[in-house]
Amino acid sequence: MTALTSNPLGATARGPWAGFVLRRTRRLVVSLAALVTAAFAVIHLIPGDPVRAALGPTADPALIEARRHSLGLDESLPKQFGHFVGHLFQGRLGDSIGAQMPVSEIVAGRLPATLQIAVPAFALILLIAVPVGMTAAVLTKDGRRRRGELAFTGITGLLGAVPEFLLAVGLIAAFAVMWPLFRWPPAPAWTPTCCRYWRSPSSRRRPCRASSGWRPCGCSGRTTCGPPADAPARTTGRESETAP
Amino acid sequence: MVSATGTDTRSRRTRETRPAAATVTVLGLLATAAACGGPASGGGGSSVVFAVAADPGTLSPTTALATTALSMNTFAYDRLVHVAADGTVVPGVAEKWSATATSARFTIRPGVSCEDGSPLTADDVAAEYNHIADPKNQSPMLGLSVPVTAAAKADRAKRTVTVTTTKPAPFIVEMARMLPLLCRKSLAAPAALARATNASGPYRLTEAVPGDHYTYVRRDGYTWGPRGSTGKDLPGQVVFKVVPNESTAANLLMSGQIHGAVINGADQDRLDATKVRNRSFEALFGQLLFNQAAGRPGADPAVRRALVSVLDLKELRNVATGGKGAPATAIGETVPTPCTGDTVTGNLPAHDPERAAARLTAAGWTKDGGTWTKAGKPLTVGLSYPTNQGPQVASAVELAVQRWTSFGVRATAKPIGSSSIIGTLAGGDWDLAWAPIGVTLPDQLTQFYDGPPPPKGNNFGSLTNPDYHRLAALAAARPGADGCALWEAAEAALVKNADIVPFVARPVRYYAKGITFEVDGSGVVPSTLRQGDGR
Repeated sequence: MTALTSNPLGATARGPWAGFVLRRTRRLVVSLAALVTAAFAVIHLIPGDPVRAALGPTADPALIEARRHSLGLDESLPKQFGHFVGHLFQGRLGDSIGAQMPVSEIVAGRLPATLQIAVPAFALILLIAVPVGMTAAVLTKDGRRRRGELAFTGITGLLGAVPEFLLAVGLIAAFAVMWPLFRWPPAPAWTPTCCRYWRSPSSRRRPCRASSGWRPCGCSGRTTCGPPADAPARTTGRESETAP
Repeated sequence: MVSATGTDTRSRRTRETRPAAATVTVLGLLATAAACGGPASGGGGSSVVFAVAADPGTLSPTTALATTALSMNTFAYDRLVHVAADGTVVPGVAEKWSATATSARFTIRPGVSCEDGSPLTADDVAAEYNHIADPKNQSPMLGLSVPVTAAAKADRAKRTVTVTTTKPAPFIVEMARMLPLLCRKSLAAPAALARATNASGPYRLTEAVPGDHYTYVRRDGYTWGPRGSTGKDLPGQVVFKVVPNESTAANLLMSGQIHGAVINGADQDRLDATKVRNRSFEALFGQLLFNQAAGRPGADPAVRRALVSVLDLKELRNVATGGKGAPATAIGETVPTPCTGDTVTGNLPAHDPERAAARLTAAGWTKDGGTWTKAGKPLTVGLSYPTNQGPQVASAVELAVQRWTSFGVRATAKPIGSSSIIGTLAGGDWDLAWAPIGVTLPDQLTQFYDGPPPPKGNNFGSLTNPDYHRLAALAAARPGADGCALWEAAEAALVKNADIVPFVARPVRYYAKGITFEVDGSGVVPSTLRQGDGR
């Protein structure tokens, strides 16, 4: 918006969309440049020597020097930065110091799984968020429906502020346990968490749905859902506690 | 295998990687769930599932150094020899051997083959020795599996490999247990083995899903195990499943979705309570190392002894391990090691604050306004410790600092947040460090406690202990276990001189359900893995 007002002539000459695209492109380039520089700087800013850490305490100093040389870490910083950016433009990500494998290979190994989740999620977000947001904007235009606006911004703000891992556990509890819409992934690995979540907020005992397709955790022979007999629920909860 | 920080608990490691933790947790949740339908499911069949704390990274035998990778490679690649828990050397691919302090000769068993069908010959073994020994190849295994300055020659007719060194290398044979044997074709392109195997051992890698699981399948016709054992009693399939969180690993173990995992943290309690059994080996957990460079407080022997005498090491031991630790008996060698004598008990300065005060006074220190000073300078000491060792270590460090402060020393705790404390040690700006160093052989320790300090060497504390220097040199002139008495005397000299203060060892526990096995410092010993409870 600020660029539009500061350069109204340019904007009108090329049309508002051209200005918008230009602005956004400029911002993208600046962000990427900052990101690349920060990624480069991190390895030099964090204490400790990554090569030494990767090669272990018994590594011979001569070997460490040789490895530093082959990684180009013994050159001047500007030179290293030049190499880094140059290789990046050619799509060469180099080798991981820790895993001692090409970074592209490591990324390629994990990317399909990430995309499998991220792409549908993104599509879903676009399908829901854009129409809902537009509708809310239209409905609350010019200061109408103040309460509705407050409710909308409040709820979306809350959803945005809750950490993803908490939200995820909540969603699993809601859509796989309370209303078992999704029966995939199979339950056993996460039911201890679900059971805990399922039970503690209301502190009421609910019937186990052994018949409804998902495997109840530790409910063998019982009709109520409690902490699993062979896996105390509290310890699975710790997984999310260490995460933030 | 070699760890600067001993046995870091996995839940702490999770904290070290916070930025991605939220994503990882969610993805991890799905990953663990998804894997249940895969090879990890159920306890039946002939598949054994182990949890590993981290992805192994590269599995290439000549470059892999991560503990996980080394452990997984023991399943796929065989060794010339194996070392039993009591330190005795057991025949593997080598049916016999002989050694001097600068050479070793192995006779290769006939009929050993690699996964691609090619025979493993004496030529292949010699080529691998020479490959790792060549500094050009930058193999981190140099000094671990192959001695520095090694050169190997093969005699095809006699099926022998002769390894010679120009520097004394008393443990060439024992080191060979760390050498994953490769056929010639693999040696030409070792990087190809980063995510695949050309196994010479009992298992071959059939599926590698980085960050999730690695599946190994038993090879047919494997007959060259330790003491000539075969693969017929081994499980048909072994899966290593990446489970970064120790609590999750414990849950999976209790619910029967995995069969084995290393659990070192608080989850031990509930596993013990439900009578899940474990195998363990003792690893040095707490050791203080003094920086003796000029100008550092540790340069003065009286200060070193006084600082140790002020501490109640038993109290520190209990705090650092929650009562699960035992007094250390070695200065860093983990099983299987040839020299098993106790080098610590009775050699550490005793807990005696009065004697500590007398020592400082005799060395010219005076107590001035509650603080020990010499030539107008107060006695100041900073204790650097790695934060990835868990909150109990931090508490023990705080306790030590408190004891020193009330004694009249200006002490501070210096937490080191990076992944390894070695970087700090090599940097030189430290007084005293919590730095247990784990190795398997006594001669691997000499670089840390003798010789040039960084940047030329690894003598981080600039130690100059003449007894250690002399005895270690004598010991290095005797091959294998013949030098043990001398090695033990040398190491005791370090402890007596308060150069290092090894004060607590802790078991590294491998919990198991539905399987039995033996463990050593490299992890599960493949040839001992059996399905069933063994009851």
